[in-house]
Amino acid sequence: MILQYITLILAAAFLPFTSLASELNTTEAKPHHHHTNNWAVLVSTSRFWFNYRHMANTLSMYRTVKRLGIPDSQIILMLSDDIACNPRNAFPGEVFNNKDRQIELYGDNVKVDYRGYEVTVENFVRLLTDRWPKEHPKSKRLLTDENSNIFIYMTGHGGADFLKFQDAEEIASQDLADAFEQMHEKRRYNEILFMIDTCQANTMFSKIYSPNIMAIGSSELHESSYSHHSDTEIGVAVIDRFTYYNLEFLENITRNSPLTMQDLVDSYTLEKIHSNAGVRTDLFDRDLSDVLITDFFGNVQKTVVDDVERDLLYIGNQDSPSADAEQSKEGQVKEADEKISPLSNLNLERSGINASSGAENIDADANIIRFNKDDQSFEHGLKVFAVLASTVLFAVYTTKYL
Amino acid sequence: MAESDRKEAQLRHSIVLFIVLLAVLVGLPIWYLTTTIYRANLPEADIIQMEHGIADGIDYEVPFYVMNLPSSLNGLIDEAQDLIDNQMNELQDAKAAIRAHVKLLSGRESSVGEFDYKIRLIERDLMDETDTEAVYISPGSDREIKLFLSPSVIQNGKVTDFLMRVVTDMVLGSEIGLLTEVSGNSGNASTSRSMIKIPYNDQYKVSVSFLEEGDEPLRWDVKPVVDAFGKYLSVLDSYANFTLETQLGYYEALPETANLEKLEKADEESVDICILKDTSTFMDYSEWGLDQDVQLLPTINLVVYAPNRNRKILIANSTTNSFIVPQWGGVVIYNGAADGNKPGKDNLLVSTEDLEPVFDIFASQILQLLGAPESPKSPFIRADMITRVQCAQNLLKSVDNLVSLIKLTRELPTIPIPEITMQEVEETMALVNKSMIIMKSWNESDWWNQVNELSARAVKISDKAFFQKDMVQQAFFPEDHKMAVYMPLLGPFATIMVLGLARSLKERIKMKKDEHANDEKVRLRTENEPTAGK
Repeated sequence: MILQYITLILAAAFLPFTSLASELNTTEAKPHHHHTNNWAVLVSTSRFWFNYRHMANTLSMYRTVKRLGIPDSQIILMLSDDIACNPRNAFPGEVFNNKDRQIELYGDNVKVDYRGYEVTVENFVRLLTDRWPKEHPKSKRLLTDENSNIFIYMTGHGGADFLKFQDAEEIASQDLADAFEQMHEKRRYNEILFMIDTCQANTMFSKIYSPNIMAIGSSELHESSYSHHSDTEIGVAVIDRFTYYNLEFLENITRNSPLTMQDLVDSYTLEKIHSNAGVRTDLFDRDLSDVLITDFFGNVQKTVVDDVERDLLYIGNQDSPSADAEQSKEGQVKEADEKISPLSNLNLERSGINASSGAENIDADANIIRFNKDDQSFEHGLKVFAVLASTVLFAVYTTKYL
Repeated sequence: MAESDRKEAQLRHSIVLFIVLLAVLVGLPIWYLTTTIYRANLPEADIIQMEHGIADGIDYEVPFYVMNLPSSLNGLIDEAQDLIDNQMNELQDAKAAIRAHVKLLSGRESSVGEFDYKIRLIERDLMDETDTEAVYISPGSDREIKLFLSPSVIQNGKVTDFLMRVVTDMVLGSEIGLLTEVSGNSGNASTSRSMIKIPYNDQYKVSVSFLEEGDEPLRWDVKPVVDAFGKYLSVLDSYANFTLETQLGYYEALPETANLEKLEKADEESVDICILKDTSTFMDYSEWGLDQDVQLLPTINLVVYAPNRNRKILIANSTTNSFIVPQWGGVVIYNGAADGNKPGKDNLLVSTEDLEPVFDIFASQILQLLGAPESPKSPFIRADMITRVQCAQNLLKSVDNLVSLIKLTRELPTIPIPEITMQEVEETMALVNKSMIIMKSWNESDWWNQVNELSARAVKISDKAFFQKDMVQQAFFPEDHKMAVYMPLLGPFATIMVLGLARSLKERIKMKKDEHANDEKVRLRTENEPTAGK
């Protein structure tokens, strides 16, 4: 009887329900080639010593973005556990991403913004949407604007359409998509690169609907992501395959590297990663071969070397026009004289304002490599089965009990 | 059924009924009240109306006073006004989001304020050899524009034309340019100026860092020049408030990526000269002790970088040895320490005189970082310009924030809307309305100071409404998750309750039937019983 009852509940839990998310109109894309600042949000979501590799994954990315010039103030590092100081760590205070232990990831200068139990779904969503109480410190906020490129990296244990946080809760792909939409609505980014290394990772970005987001995942639906290798002295796996090979590629990048995201994507192979990495670009309006790696992983600031105008400091320090006489220096008098410009020099022609060409059409084709499409029929079948099973069970159960 | 059984069954039925009623009347409302999301009713219609109102564009007027014009010449003002209006219409897109207009007024010394725009028409002396017409725009705070009229201009009746050209081109020309940039097709207006501009806030922190590459501490005589710089910043008071902070850093080594090209040096030279070709990789944002404040104020970083005394770093193609990092700040490389090797100069002292040119560069950089145009020279007029443009932009942004907010709440039906959000929305709308009224019917000629304050507050409050901290929860709670959560919680209880109810109903019906049958039996028995024989 009890068994039947549990089956009933389980079957009913599979009942199909339509998602609440409504179809939303996203605004048409405009060229978004310019950004003035780079931010990185790096999240490891799993706790406990045996998830060493997730912390190592995240710290590897931290090391890379920092090496490529993103300042700590623009990196939000969320580490769900402190493995460096874990009593089981044979190398206290150190984290390695390889058993050769060549690269020490923890370094001398790691700034962890969210540590341990602070890494929650709520805090992550708050971080993206910037909804904080006013006492929340600046260093723990994502203070981006419409000129910011954001690199978001997540790793942990996940499944179809969810990523587990801390063994206690999970974020759904729809949550993530809605958070991105809120960011888009408030123009909190120019472009986003979303990268995720977890099982069935590609499902996590399947629901995203906001423009100018590019997503990379380590494995497709019903597929696991694997760890790369274990270090016998540490006793656990030290890094995941997907991140390991990303890192292998990124280690060769310098701040003025001409390599593009296309090169990175091309470097993913099934032999290396043991799962099918997915790339989603249908929301992204640039060709990947035009997107420099450093557009997301680095912070190459374009600068303006300009001849500046003079004497502003002096002008600003004049108390009043009448004080001119006492204070004026020779140069300033000359300056003022120059301002008496003859009318013949008056140039009424204005420089034309460059109206840049219309918005490029987004390539509407699904650019997703190996993305779940034929899973729909499978899911439909499952749903029909669930309905039938629950009806039958319910009927049997009811008549018996009565 | 025995009477005792009957009683027991009735009791059982009342218990079931009681539990069902308890569940329906108490449990259900509690469940409903504790699980519904509070969504305040935002005044959507009003917001949309406000958006429509503002969609036509924001017009504002800039008053100019033509000083001491004899009343007999008042016609000149009307004529010039017509010309200016035509020219302004020509220069600006009628559909632009923000449009500027000029109002010419006749002014007297007594009635015109110190900070009003004053136009003085000055007749050139016939005897003067340079008898061409000329313009002088005062760079100071008096905002005076002097038009020197030559006899030929006056004779040909070109005074109004001259006036129009000066006002619309030399004075307000760059403001119109600015407006075209911000309101035109704001999407692709990624002009260099808009890329450089630090996003607006009504308060900024200006952080001046003196960074030294080496270990020999220089003595920076900063006090007088920092004071002067602070005073200069007060020119921009109407735009925003600035707080100035300074800091000093040692051992700020250049990153490996800094592209320095060492020049061959002559033997007698003791100083290496390095050319910096690419300034984009010069800064080390991670390691240098740049501003790391926990405050939320946006920071304008100004950096003086002093290389070691044994070398000079010269930026290629720059006469001032400086560059701007968009939306971040300005950098000046100061090589004075290397000059100190010359005899008769204190090696390690950086005097106020040395620093004045550096801060003069900062003064120019800060204007660029705030998005100010290049002309006219007067920083006062330029500060007015960016303030006026910012007023209009703030209003547009506030309304935009509100529209985004209602769009969001429509899109995400499960997001909570707390009462405070609604209050903030209402406050924003009140501020926007008030600003619009002041802007439209200005009675003080520097209305922009007032409006900027109000509109900046409107932006702040509307931002707060959008970023309200209580509007976060895991907004998405799919139905199947609900099922998974509620089924184990309520399923057993509900099933037992429903089935219990069904069973007691069944029993009740049976009891009724039995009763009926009993009654029938009794009736039949009484009917069939033979009456007492007589």
